[in-house]
Amino acid sequence: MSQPINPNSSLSVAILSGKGGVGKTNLALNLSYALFRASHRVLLMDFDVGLANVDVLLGLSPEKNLQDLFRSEVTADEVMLPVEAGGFDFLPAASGVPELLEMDDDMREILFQKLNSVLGAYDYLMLDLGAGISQTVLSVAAMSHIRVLVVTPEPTSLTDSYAVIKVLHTQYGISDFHILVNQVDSPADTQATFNRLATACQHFLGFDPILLGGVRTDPALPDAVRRQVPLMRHAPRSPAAQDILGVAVKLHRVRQNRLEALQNMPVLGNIPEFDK
Amino acid sequence: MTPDLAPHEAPQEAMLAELDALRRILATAQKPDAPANDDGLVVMRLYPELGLDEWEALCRRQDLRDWLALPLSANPLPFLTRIQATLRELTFLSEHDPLTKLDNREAFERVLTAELSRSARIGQSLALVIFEIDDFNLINADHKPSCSDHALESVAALLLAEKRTFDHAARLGGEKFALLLPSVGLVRSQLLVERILAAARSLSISCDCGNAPIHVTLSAGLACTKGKMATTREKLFALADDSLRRAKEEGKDRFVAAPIADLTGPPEKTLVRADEKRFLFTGLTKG
Repeated sequence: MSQPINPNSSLSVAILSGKGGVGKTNLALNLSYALFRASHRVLLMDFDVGLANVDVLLGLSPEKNLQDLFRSEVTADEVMLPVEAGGFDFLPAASGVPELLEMDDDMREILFQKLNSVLGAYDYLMLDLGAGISQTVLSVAAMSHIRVLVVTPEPTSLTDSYAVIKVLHTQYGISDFHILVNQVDSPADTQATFNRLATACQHFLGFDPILLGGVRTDPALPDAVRRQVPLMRHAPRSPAAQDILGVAVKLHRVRQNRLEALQNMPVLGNIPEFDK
Repeated sequence: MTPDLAPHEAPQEAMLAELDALRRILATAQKPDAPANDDGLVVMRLYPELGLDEWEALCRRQDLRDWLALPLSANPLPFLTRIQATLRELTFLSEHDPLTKLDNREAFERVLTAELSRSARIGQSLALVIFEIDDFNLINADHKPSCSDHALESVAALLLAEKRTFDHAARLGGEKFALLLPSVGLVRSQLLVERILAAARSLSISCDCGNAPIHVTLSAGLACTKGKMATTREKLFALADDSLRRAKEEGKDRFVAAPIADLTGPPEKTLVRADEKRFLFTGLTKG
Protein backbone atom coordinates (compact mmCIF):
# COMPACT_ATOMS: atom_id res chain seq x y z
CA MET A 1 0.00 0.00 0.00
CA SER A 2 1.58 3.29 -1.07
CA GLN A 3 1.78 6.36 1.17
CA PRO A 4 -1.31 8.58 0.77
CA ILE A 5 -0.64 12.04 -0.71
CA ASN A 6 -2.87 13.73 1.83
CA PRO A 7 -2.81 11.47 4.93
CA ASN A 8 -4.75 13.95 7.07
CA SER A 9 -7.52 14.31 4.44
CA SER A 10 -7.11 18.10 4.49
CA LEU A 11 -9.96 19.77 2.61
CA SER A 12 -9.23 22.89 0.56
CA VAL A 13 -12.18 25.26 0.25
CA ALA A 14 -12.07 28.15 -2.23
CA ILE A 15 -14.44 30.93 -1.23
CA LEU A 16 -15.29 33.22 -4.12
CA SER A 17 -18.06 35.47 -5.27
CA GLY A 18 -17.63 37.17 -8.59
CA LYS A 19 -19.10 40.40 -7.23
CA GLY A 20 -17.28 42.28 -4.48
CA GLY A 21 -18.90 43.43 -1.24
CA VAL A 22 -21.09 40.39 -0.68
CA GLY A 23 -19.47 39.55 2.65
CA LYS A 24 -17.10 36.91 1.36
CA THR A 25 -14.16 37.74 3.62
CA ASN A 26 -16.31 37.86 6.74
CA LEU A 27 -17.86 34.50 5.89
CA ALA A 28 -14.44 32.96 5.23
CA LEU A 29 -13.16 34.24 8.57
CA ASN A 30 -16.19 33.18 10.60
CA LEU A 31 -16.53 29.79 8.94
CA SER A 32 -12.88 29.18 9.75
CA TYR A 33 -13.46 30.27 13.32
CA ALA A 34 -16.52 28.04 13.68
CA LEU A 35 -14.61 25.03 12.37
CA PHE A 36 -11.75 25.79 14.75
CA ARG A 37 -14.18 25.99 17.68
CA ALA A 38 -15.40 22.54 16.71
CA SER A 39 -11.84 21.26 17.33
CA HIS A 40 -10.62 21.32 13.74
CA ARG A 41 -7.29 22.72 12.68
CA VAL A 42 -7.84 25.52 10.18
CA LEU A 43 -5.57 27.62 8.01
CA LEU A 44 -7.27 30.72 6.64
CA MET A 45 -5.43 31.99 3.63
CA ASP A 46 -6.09 35.48 2.34
CA PHE A 47 -5.90 35.00 -1.39
CA ASP A 48 -7.59 38.27 -2.18
CA VAL A 49 -4.23 39.24 -3.58
CA GLY A 50 -3.96 42.88 -4.42
CA LEU A 51 -6.71 43.96 -2.03
CA ALA A 52 -6.28 41.86 1.10
CA ASN A 53 -8.40 42.51 4.18
CA VAL A 54 -8.53 39.51 6.51
CA ASP A 55 -5.77 41.02 8.65
CA VAL A 56 -7.92 44.11 9.23
CA LEU A 57 -10.92 42.03 10.31
CA LEU A 58 -8.66 40.25 12.79
CA GLY A 59 -6.94 43.39 14.06
CA LEU A 60 -3.54 41.96 13.06
CA SER A 61 -0.66 43.76 11.39
CA PRO A 62 1.40 40.98 9.85
CA GLU A 63 5.04 41.72 9.08
CA LYS A 64 5.28 39.27 6.22
CA ASN A 65 2.75 38.16 3.64
CA LEU A 66 2.17 35.89 0.67
CA GLN A 67 4.43 38.00 -1.50
CA ASP A 68 7.42 37.31 0.75
CA LEU A 69 7.15 33.62 -0.14
CA PHE A 70 8.63 34.44 -3.53
CA ARG A 71 11.91 35.18 -1.73
CA SER A 72 13.81 31.93 -1.54
CA GLU A 73 14.93 32.33 2.08
CA VAL A 74 11.40 32.84 3.44
CA THR A 75 9.49 29.73 4.54
CA ALA A 76 5.73 29.31 4.88
CA ASP A 77 6.04 29.06 8.69
CA GLU A 78 7.55 32.52 8.88
CA VAL A 79 4.63 34.07 7.04
CA MET A 80 1.82 32.42 9.00
CA LEU A 81 0.33 33.97 12.13
CA PRO A 82 -1.70 32.25 14.85
CA VAL A 83 -5.21 33.69 15.23
CA GLU A 84 -6.03 31.39 18.12
CA ALA A 85 -3.60 29.07 19.83
CA GLY A 86 -4.17 25.42 19.11
CA GLY A 87 -4.90 25.32 15.44
CA PHE A 88 -6.32 28.46 13.85
CA ASP A 89 -3.67 30.10 11.70
CA PHE A 90 -3.76 32.83 9.16
CA LEU A 91 -1.68 33.46 6.05
CA PRO A 92 -1.90 37.11 5.03
CA ALA A 93 -1.78 38.45 1.48
CA ALA A 94 -0.39 41.74 0.22
CA SER A 95 -2.53 44.78 -0.48
CA GLY A 96 -1.76 47.09 -3.36
CA VAL A 97 0.32 44.63 -5.41
CA PRO A 98 -1.47 44.34 -8.75
CA GLU A 99 1.14 41.91 -10.16
CA LEU A 100 -0.15 39.20 -7.82
CA LEU A 101 -3.56 39.42 -9.49
CA GLU A 102 -2.20 37.88 -12.66
CA MET A 103 0.20 35.36 -11.15
CA ASP A 104 1.70 33.17 -13.82
CA ASP A 105 2.30 29.42 -13.53
CA ASP A 106 5.83 29.91 -12.23
CA MET A 107 4.70 32.19 -9.41
CA ARG A 108 1.90 29.81 -8.42
CA GLU A 109 4.29 26.87 -8.52
CA ILE A 110 6.78 28.59 -6.16
CA LEU A 111 3.96 29.53 -3.83
CA PHE A 112 2.28 26.13 -3.69
CA GLN A 113 5.51 24.20 -3.34
CA LYS A 114 6.26 26.15 -0.18
CA LEU A 115 2.69 25.92 1.08
CA ASN A 116 2.34 22.20 0.46
CA SER A 117 4.87 21.49 3.19
CA VAL A 118 2.59 23.04 5.84
CA LEU A 119 -0.91 22.45 4.46
CA GLY A 120 -1.05 18.81 5.47
CA ALA A 121 -1.12 19.79 9.16
CA TYR A 122 -4.59 21.31 8.86
CA ASP A 123 -8.04 19.79 8.50
CA TYR A 124 -9.30 22.74 6.48
CA LEU A 125 -7.57 25.15 4.16
CA MET A 126 -9.92 28.09 3.69
CA LEU A 127 -8.96 30.27 0.70
CA ASP A 128 -10.50 33.71 0.63
CA LEU A 129 -10.33 34.58 -3.07
CA GLY A 130 -10.81 38.04 -4.48
CA ALA A 131 -13.78 39.26 -6.45
CA GLY A 132 -13.72 39.13 -10.23
CA ILE A 133 -12.51 36.52 -12.67
CA SER A 134 -8.76 37.12 -12.73
CA GLN A 135 -6.58 34.19 -13.76
CA THR A 136 -5.38 33.80 -10.17
CA VAL A 137 -8.92 33.53 -8.79
CA LEU A 138 -9.89 31.03 -11.48
CA SER A 139 -6.89 28.76 -11.20
CA VAL A 140 -6.88 28.65 -7.38
CA ALA A 141 -10.61 27.88 -7.47
CA ALA A 142 -9.91 25.08 -9.92
CA MET A 143 -7.07 23.69 -7.78
CA SER A 144 -9.21 23.50 -4.62
CA HIS A 145 -11.28 20.50 -3.56
CA ILE A 146 -14.50 22.44 -3.28
CA ARG A 147 -15.71 25.88 -4.29
CA VAL A 148 -18.07 27.94 -2.15
CA LEU A 149 -19.74 30.75 -4.07
CA VAL A 150 -21.03 33.56 -1.91
CA VAL A 151 -24.07 35.24 -3.45
CA THR A 152 -26.63 37.74 -2.21
CA PRO A 153 -30.24 38.12 -3.39
CA GLU A 154 -29.19 41.15 -5.48
CA PRO A 155 -29.54 40.50 -9.23
CA THR A 156 -26.04 41.80 -9.96
CA SER A 157 -24.58 39.34 -7.45
CA LEU A 158 -26.47 36.55 -9.21
CA THR A 159 -25.15 37.44 -12.67
CA ASP A 160 -21.58 37.90 -11.38
CA SER A 161 -21.51 34.55 -9.63
CA TYR A 162 -23.14 32.89 -12.62
CA ALA A 163 -20.31 34.36 -14.76
CA VAL A 164 -17.72 32.81 -12.40
CA ILE A 165 -19.52 29.46 -12.59
CA LYS A 166 -19.73 29.60 -16.37
CA VAL A 167 -16.05 30.47 -16.84
CA LEU A 168 -14.90 27.73 -14.43
CA HIS A 169 -17.24 25.27 -16.11
CA THR A 170 -16.30 26.03 -19.72
CA GLN A 171 -12.56 26.62 -19.17
CA TYR A 172 -11.78 24.06 -16.46
CA GLY A 173 -14.66 21.59 -16.80
CA ILE A 174 -15.76 22.12 -13.19
CA SER A 175 -19.38 21.27 -12.36
CA ASP A 176 -19.51 21.17 -8.58
CA PHE A 177 -20.24 24.42 -6.80
CA HIS A 178 -21.53 25.01 -3.28
CA ILE A 179 -23.75 28.06 -2.98
CA LEU A 180 -23.81 30.18 0.16
CA VAL A 181 -26.48 32.90 0.13
CA ASN A 182 -25.50 35.86 2.29
CA GLN A 183 -27.50 38.88 3.51
CA VAL A 184 -30.89 37.18 3.40
CA ASP A 185 -34.04 38.11 5.36
CA SER A 186 -35.42 34.60 5.69
CA PRO A 187 -34.90 30.95 4.69
CA ALA A 188 -37.40 31.59 1.87
CA ASP A 189 -35.10 34.34 0.63
CA THR A 190 -32.21 31.85 0.63
CA GLN A 191 -34.20 29.29 -1.29
CA ALA A 192 -35.52 31.78 -3.88
CA THR A 193 -32.03 33.13 -4.57
CA PHE A 194 -30.52 29.67 -4.80
CA ASN A 195 -33.33 28.44 -7.05
CA ARG A 196 -32.80 31.28 -9.51
CA LEU A 197 -29.09 30.48 -9.81
CA ALA A 198 -29.59 26.71 -9.77
CA THR A 199 -32.22 26.80 -12.50
CA ALA A 200 -29.96 28.95 -14.69
CA CYS A 201 -27.08 26.47 -14.21
CA GLN A 202 -29.40 23.58 -14.98
CA HIS A 203 -31.01 25.26 -17.98
CA PHE A 204 -27.93 26.75 -19.65
CA LEU A 205 -25.00 24.67 -18.38
CA GLY A 206 -26.63 21.33 -17.64
CA PHE A 207 -25.74 20.73 -13.99
CA ASP A 208 -27.05 21.50 -10.48
CA PRO A 209 -25.10 23.45 -7.88
CA ILE A 210 -25.43 22.47 -4.20
CA LEU A 211 -27.01 24.72 -1.58
CA LEU A 212 -24.72 25.11 1.42
CA GLY A 213 -27.03 27.46 3.32
CA GLY A 214 -28.09 31.05 3.94
CA VAL A 215 -26.79 33.68 6.35
CA ARG A 216 -29.12 36.40 7.61
CA THR A 217 -28.40 40.12 7.58
CA ASP A 218 -27.38 40.93 11.13
CA PRO A 219 -26.47 44.24 12.85
CA ALA A 220 -24.05 42.30 15.04
CA LEU A 221 -21.78 41.80 12.05
CA PRO A 222 -20.79 45.43 11.36
CA ASP A 223 -20.30 45.75 15.10
CA ALA A 224 -17.86 42.83 15.10
CA VAL A 225 -16.04 44.30 12.08
CA ARG A 226 -15.59 47.61 13.89
CA ARG A 227 -14.19 45.79 16.91
CA GLN A 228 -11.94 43.72 14.65
CA VAL A 229 -13.00 40.39 16.12
CA PRO A 230 -14.75 37.50 14.37
CA LEU A 231 -18.55 37.65 14.70
CA MET A 232 -18.50 34.09 16.02
CA ARG A 233 -16.55 35.29 19.05
CA HIS A 234 -18.15 38.72 19.37
CA ALA A 235 -21.78 37.54 19.19
CA PRO A 236 -21.95 33.75 18.96
CA ARG A 237 -25.71 33.73 19.55
CA SER A 238 -26.57 36.33 16.91
CA PRO A 239 -28.70 35.10 13.97
CA ALA A 240 -25.85 35.38 11.49
CA ALA A 241 -23.47 33.48 13.79
CA GLN A 242 -26.04 30.71 14.18
CA ASP A 243 -26.44 30.48 10.41
CA ILE A 244 -22.68 30.36 9.90
CA LEU A 245 -22.45 27.57 12.44
CA GLY A 246 -25.01 25.62 10.39
CA VAL A 247 -22.93 26.14 7.24
CA ALA A 248 -19.78 25.00 9.09
CA VAL A 249 -21.57 21.81 10.11
CA LYS A 250 -22.51 21.16 6.47
CA LEU A 251 -18.93 21.81 5.37
CA HIS A 252 -17.76 19.34 8.00
CA ARG A 253 -20.15 16.75 6.54
CA VAL A 254 -18.72 17.33 3.08
CA ARG A 255 -15.28 16.52 4.41
CA GLN A 256 -16.50 13.50 6.40
CA ASN A 257 -18.08 12.07 3.26
CA ARG A 258 -14.84 12.43 1.34
CA LEU A 259 -12.26 11.46 3.98
CA GLU A 260 -11.05 8.43 2.08
CA ALA A 261 -11.00 10.00 -1.36
CA LEU A 262 -9.19 13.08 -0.01
CA GLN A 263 -6.24 10.95 1.09
CA ASN A 264 -5.31 10.46 -2.54
CA MET A 265 -5.75 14.08 -3.56
CA PRO A 266 -3.15 16.78 -2.97
CA VAL A 267 -4.43 19.62 -0.75
CA LEU A 268 -4.13 21.94 -3.69
CA GLY A 269 -4.31 20.18 -7.04
CA ASN A 270 -1.94 20.58 -9.91
CA ILE A 271 -1.93 23.82 -11.79
CA PRO A 272 -4.89 23.26 -14.07
CA GLU A 273 -4.63 23.38 -17.80
CA PHE A 274 -7.42 24.88 -19.75
CA ASP A 275 -8.07 25.20 -23.42
CA LYS A 276 -7.81 28.71 -24.74
CA MET B 1 23.34 44.08 -76.48
CA THR B 2 26.68 45.84 -76.15
CA PRO B 3 26.00 49.56 -76.34
CA ASP B 4 28.65 52.26 -76.35
CA LEU B 5 31.71 50.03 -76.42
CA ALA B 6 34.96 51.95 -76.56
CA PRO B 7 37.21 51.00 -79.54
CA HIS B 8 39.82 49.29 -77.29
CA GLU B 9 37.07 47.02 -75.95
CA ALA B 10 36.17 45.76 -79.42
CA PRO B 11 38.40 42.63 -79.28
CA GLN B 12 36.33 41.44 -76.31
CA GLU B 13 33.29 41.43 -78.58
CA ALA B 14 34.41 38.13 -80.00
CA MET B 15 34.67 36.61 -76.54
CA LEU B 16 31.22 37.88 -75.54
CA ALA B 17 29.69 36.50 -78.71
CA GLU B 18 31.30 33.18 -77.97
CA LEU B 19 29.99 33.13 -74.39
CA ASP B 20 26.58 34.10 -75.61
CA ALA B 21 26.54 31.29 -78.16
CA LEU B 22 27.70 28.82 -75.51
CA ARG B 23 24.94 29.95 -73.17
CA ARG B 24 22.29 29.37 -75.79
CA ILE B 25 23.67 25.94 -76.68
CA LEU B 26 23.80 24.90 -73.01
CA ALA B 27 20.25 26.13 -72.42
CA THR B 28 18.86 23.98 -75.22
CA ALA B 29 21.25 21.04 -74.90
CA GLN B 30 19.69 17.74 -73.89
CA LYS B 31 20.40 16.93 -70.26
CA PRO B 32 20.02 13.58 -68.48
CA ASP B 33 16.65 13.26 -66.68
CA ALA B 34 18.14 12.66 -63.28
CA PRO B 35 21.76 13.78 -63.17
CA ALA B 36 23.89 12.19 -60.49
CA ASN B 37 24.92 14.59 -57.75
CA ASP B 38 28.58 14.50 -58.66
CA ASP B 39 27.93 15.09 -62.32
CA GLY B 40 29.11 18.42 -63.72
CA LEU B 41 31.79 20.04 -65.82
CA VAL B 42 33.88 23.16 -65.72
CA VAL B 43 34.07 24.61 -69.21
CA MET B 44 37.32 26.50 -69.72
CA ARG B 45 38.69 28.85 -72.30
CA LEU B 46 42.03 30.61 -72.15
CA TYR B 47 42.12 34.40 -72.69
CA PRO B 48 45.76 35.44 -72.58
CA GLU B 49 45.10 39.19 -72.71
CA LEU B 50 42.27 39.47 -70.22
CA GLY B 51 43.00 40.97 -66.77
CA LEU B 52 40.88 41.08 -63.61
CA ASP B 53 39.76 44.69 -64.16
CA GLU B 54 38.53 44.08 -67.68
CA TRP B 55 36.77 40.91 -66.61
CA GLU B 56 34.98 42.75 -63.74
CA ALA B 57 33.87 45.48 -66.12
CA LEU B 58 32.49 42.85 -68.47
CA CYS B 59 30.69 41.07 -65.64
CA ARG B 60 28.97 44.25 -64.57
CA ARG B 61 27.93 45.20 -68.07
CA GLN B 62 26.93 41.81 -69.40
CA ASP B 63 25.42 40.16 -66.35
CA LEU B 64 28.10 37.47 -66.23
CA ARG B 65 27.93 37.01 -62.49
CA ASP B 66 27.53 33.27 -62.79
CA TRP B 67 30.81 32.96 -64.77
CA LEU B 68 34.01 32.41 -62.87
CA ALA B 69 37.50 33.48 -63.89
CA LEU B 70 40.77 32.25 -62.39
CA PRO B 71 44.32 33.28 -63.34
CA LEU B 72 46.70 30.49 -64.37
CA SER B 73 49.92 31.79 -62.88
CA ALA B 74 49.25 35.01 -60.96
CA ASN B 75 48.04 35.23 -57.33
CA PRO B 76 44.47 33.80 -57.27
CA LEU B 77 43.47 35.75 -54.12
CA PRO B 78 42.03 38.86 -55.86
CA PHE B 79 39.96 36.58 -58.09
CA LEU B 80 38.66 34.52 -55.19
CA THR B 81 37.88 37.71 -53.25
CA ARG B 82 35.96 38.90 -56.23
CA ILE B 83 33.95 35.65 -56.28
CA GLN B 84 33.27 35.98 -52.56
CA ALA B 85 32.02 39.54 -53.04
CA THR B 86 29.76 38.38 -55.84
CA LEU B 87 28.28 35.69 -53.61
CA ARG B 88 27.64 38.26 -50.89
CA GLU B 89 26.05 40.57 -53.40
CA LEU B 90 23.81 37.79 -54.72
CA THR B 91 22.75 36.82 -51.20
CA PHE B 92 21.91 40.45 -50.45
CA LEU B 93 20.02 40.80 -53.72
CA SER B 94 18.02 37.68 -52.99
CA GLU B 95 16.62 39.33 -49.85
CA HIS B 96 16.68 43.04 -50.68
CA ASP B 97 15.30 45.43 -53.17
CA PRO B 98 18.29 46.58 -55.28
CA LEU B 99 17.11 50.20 -55.51
CA THR B 100 16.02 51.01 -51.95
CA LYS B 101 18.01 48.29 -50.13
CA LEU B 102 14.89 47.51 -48.06
CA ASP B 103 13.80 43.88 -47.60
CA ASN B 104 12.14 42.51 -50.71
CA ARG B 105 8.73 40.86 -50.68
CA GLU B 106 10.04 37.29 -50.20
CA ALA B 107 12.24 38.22 -47.25
CA PHE B 108 9.43 40.27 -45.72
CA GLU B 109 6.96 37.40 -46.02
CA ARG B 110 9.40 35.10 -44.26
CA VAL B 111 9.76 37.58 -41.39
CA LEU B 112 5.99 38.09 -41.25
CA THR B 113 5.39 34.34 -40.93
CA ALA B 114 7.88 34.11 -38.07
CA GLU B 115 6.52 37.19 -36.30
CA LEU B 116 2.93 35.96 -36.64
CA SER B 117 3.71 32.66 -34.98
CA ARG B 118 5.60 34.47 -32.22
CA SER B 119 2.69 36.85 -31.70
CA ALA B 120 0.25 33.95 -31.40
CA ARG B 121 2.58 32.02 -29.08
CA ILE B 122 3.07 34.81 -26.57
CA GLY B 123 -0.26 36.55 -27.14
CA GLN B 124 1.30 39.81 -28.26
CA SER B 125 0.07 42.36 -30.77
CA LEU B 126 1.52 42.68 -34.26
CA ALA B 127 0.75 45.41 -36.77
CA LEU B 128 1.20 45.32 -40.54
CA VAL B 129 1.08 48.50 -42.61
CA ILE B 130 1.10 48.63 -46.41
CA PHE B 131 2.00 51.98 -47.97
CA GLU B 132 1.57 53.12 -51.55
CA ILE B 133 2.87 56.30 -53.18
CA ASP B 134 -0.20 58.11 -54.52
CA ASP B 135 -0.41 58.71 -58.29
CA PHE B 136 3.01 57.26 -58.92
CA ASN B 137 2.09 56.73 -62.58
CA LEU B 138 1.91 60.53 -62.98
CA ILE B 139 5.43 60.88 -61.61
CA ASN B 140 6.53 58.21 -64.08
CA ALA B 141 4.78 59.98 -66.95
CA ASP B 142 6.04 63.48 -66.18
CA HIS B 143 9.59 62.72 -65.16
CA LYS B 144 12.70 60.76 -66.08
CA PRO B 145 13.00 57.22 -64.61
CA SER B 146 15.74 58.51 -62.30
CA CYS B 147 13.26 60.95 -60.73
CA SER B 148 10.85 58.08 -59.97
CA ASP B 149 13.79 56.23 -58.42
CA HIS B 150 14.55 59.27 -56.24
CA ALA B 151 10.94 59.23 -55.03
CA LEU B 152 11.10 55.53 -54.16
CA GLU B 153 14.43 55.99 -52.39
CA SER B 154 13.13 58.95 -50.40
CA VAL B 155 10.08 57.05 -49.18
CA ALA B 156 12.29 54.07 -48.27
CA ALA B 157 14.63 56.35 -46.32
CA LEU B 158 11.63 57.82 -44.54
CA LEU B 159 10.38 54.39 -43.45
CA LEU B 160 13.86 53.45 -42.25
CA ALA B 161 14.13 56.65 -40.25
CA GLU B 162 10.72 56.28 -38.58
CA LYS B 163 10.80 52.57 -37.74
CA ARG B 164 12.20 51.21 -34.50
CA THR B 165 15.31 49.03 -34.71
CA PHE B 166 13.32 45.78 -34.46
CA ASP B 167 10.58 46.79 -36.93
CA HIS B 168 10.86 45.54 -40.49
CA ALA B 169 10.55 47.73 -43.58
CA ALA B 170 10.19 46.34 -47.08
CA ARG B 171 9.51 47.33 -50.64
CA LEU B 172 6.84 44.93 -51.79
CA GLY B 173 7.27 45.93 -55.43
CA GLY B 174 6.49 48.94 -57.60
CA GLU B 175 5.45 51.88 -55.42
CA LYS B 176 4.26 49.62 -52.58
CA PHE B 177 6.04 49.42 -49.24
CA ALA B 178 5.34 47.66 -45.96
CA LEU B 179 6.16 48.00 -42.29
CA LEU B 180 5.89 45.22 -39.73
CA LEU B 181 5.63 46.39 -36.12
CA PRO B 182 6.00 43.66 -33.47
CA SER B 183 4.35 44.23 -30.06
CA VAL B 184 2.38 47.19 -31.35
CA GLY B 185 -1.40 47.45 -31.31
CA LEU B 186 -3.78 49.56 -33.31
CA VAL B 187 -3.52 52.78 -31.31
CA ARG B 188 0.26 53.04 -31.36
CA SER B 189 0.64 51.92 -34.96
CA GLN B 190 -1.90 54.55 -36.03
CA LEU B 191 0.22 57.24 -34.41
CA LEU B 192 3.27 56.00 -36.31
CA VAL B 193 1.42 55.83 -39.63
CA GLU B 194 0.08 59.37 -39.15
CA ARG B 195 3.62 60.57 -38.48
CA ILE B 196 4.94 58.84 -41.62
CA LEU B 197 2.15 60.24 -43.78
CA ALA B 198 2.85 63.75 -42.47
CA ALA B 199 6.60 63.35 -43.06
CA ALA B 200 5.94 62.15 -46.63
CA ARG B 201 3.90 65.29 -47.36
CA SER B 202 6.86 67.47 -46.47
CA LEU B 203 9.37 65.49 -48.56
CA SER B 204 11.01 67.56 -51.29
CA ILE B 205 12.49 65.19 -53.87
CA SER B 206 15.07 66.50 -56.31
CA CYS B 207 14.12 66.32 -59.96
CA ASP B 208 16.64 65.47 -62.69
CA CYS B 209 14.45 67.00 -65.40
CA GLY B 210 15.30 70.48 -64.20
CA ASN B 211 11.81 71.05 -62.85
CA ALA B 212 10.69 71.97 -59.35
CA PRO B 213 11.18 69.32 -56.63
CA ILE B 214 8.69 66.44 -56.64
CA HIS B 215 6.16 66.13 -53.84
CA VAL B 216 4.44 62.89 -52.86
CA THR B 217 1.68 61.67 -50.59
CA LEU B 218 1.13 58.16 -49.26
CA SER B 219 -1.94 56.02 -48.71
CA ALA B 220 -1.73 53.30 -46.09
CA GLY B 221 -3.68 50.24 -44.98
CA LEU B 222 -3.26 48.97 -41.46
CA ALA B 223 -4.07 45.54 -40.04
CA CYS B 224 -3.42 44.34 -36.55
CA THR B 225 -3.62 41.09 -34.63
CA LYS B 226 -3.70 40.85 -30.85
CA GLY B 227 -2.18 37.39 -30.96
CA LYS B 228 -5.25 35.89 -29.27
CA MET B 229 -6.67 34.24 -32.35
CA ALA B 230 -4.49 32.39 -34.83
CA THR B 231 -4.35 34.10 -38.21
CA THR B 232 -2.32 33.60 -41.36
CA ARG B 233 0.05 35.78 -43.32
CA GLU B 234 -2.38 35.79 -46.22
CA LYS B 235 -5.29 36.92 -44.04
CA LEU B 236 -3.32 39.74 -42.43
CA PHE B 237 -2.02 40.84 -45.83
CA ALA B 238 -5.55 40.76 -47.27
CA LEU B 239 -6.85 42.89 -44.38
CA ALA B 240 -4.09 45.49 -44.83
CA ASP B 241 -4.50 45.45 -48.60
CA ASP B 242 -8.23 45.96 -48.33
CA SER B 243 -7.71 48.88 -45.95
CA LEU B 244 -5.20 50.38 -48.40
CA ARG B 245 -7.74 50.07 -51.20
CA ARG B 246 -10.30 51.88 -49.06
CA ALA B 247 -7.80 54.62 -48.18
CA LYS B 248 -7.26 55.22 -51.89
CA GLU B 249 -10.97 55.17 -52.63
CA GLU B 250 -11.60 57.68 -49.88
CA GLY B 251 -9.27 60.16 -51.55
CA LYS B 252 -5.66 59.02 -50.91
CA ASP B 253 -3.12 60.70 -48.62
CA ARG B 254 -4.70 58.94 -45.64
CA PHE B 255 -4.78 55.61 -43.89
CA VAL B 256 -7.53 53.17 -43.06
CA ALA B 257 -7.26 50.60 -40.26
CA ALA B 258 -8.92 47.20 -40.54
CA PRO B 259 -11.01 46.08 -37.56
CA ILE B 260 -8.95 43.90 -35.20
CA ALA B 261 -9.82 40.34 -36.18
CA ASP B 262 -9.31 38.99 -32.64
CA LEU B 263 -11.98 41.33 -31.30
CA THR B 264 -14.54 40.78 -34.02
CA GLY B 265 -14.42 36.99 -33.95
CA PRO B 266 -17.12 34.76 -32.50
CA PRO B 267 -17.86 35.40 -28.79
CA GLU B 268 -15.95 33.42 -26.18
CA LYS B 269 -17.85 30.40 -24.97
CA THR B 270 -17.49 31.72 -21.43
CA LEU B 271 -19.55 34.81 -22.30
CA VAL B 272 -22.69 35.27 -20.19
CA ARG B 273 -25.33 35.86 -22.88
CA ALA B 274 -28.27 38.21 -22.71
CA ASP B 275 -30.79 35.37 -22.32
CA GLU B 276 -28.85 34.00 -19.34
CA LYS B 277 -28.79 37.43 -17.70
CA ARG B 278 -32.47 37.95 -18.39
CA PHE B 279 -33.24 34.64 -16.75
CA LEU B 280 -31.18 35.50 -13.67
CA PHE B 281 -33.01 38.85 -13.36
CA THR B 282 -36.54 37.73 -14.17
CA GLY B 283 -36.67 33.96 -13.98
CA LEU B 284 -38.05 33.92 -17.53
CA THR B 285 -36.32 32.16 -20.41
CA LYS B 286 -38.23 34.08 -23.08
CA GLY B 287 -37.97 37.88 -23.33
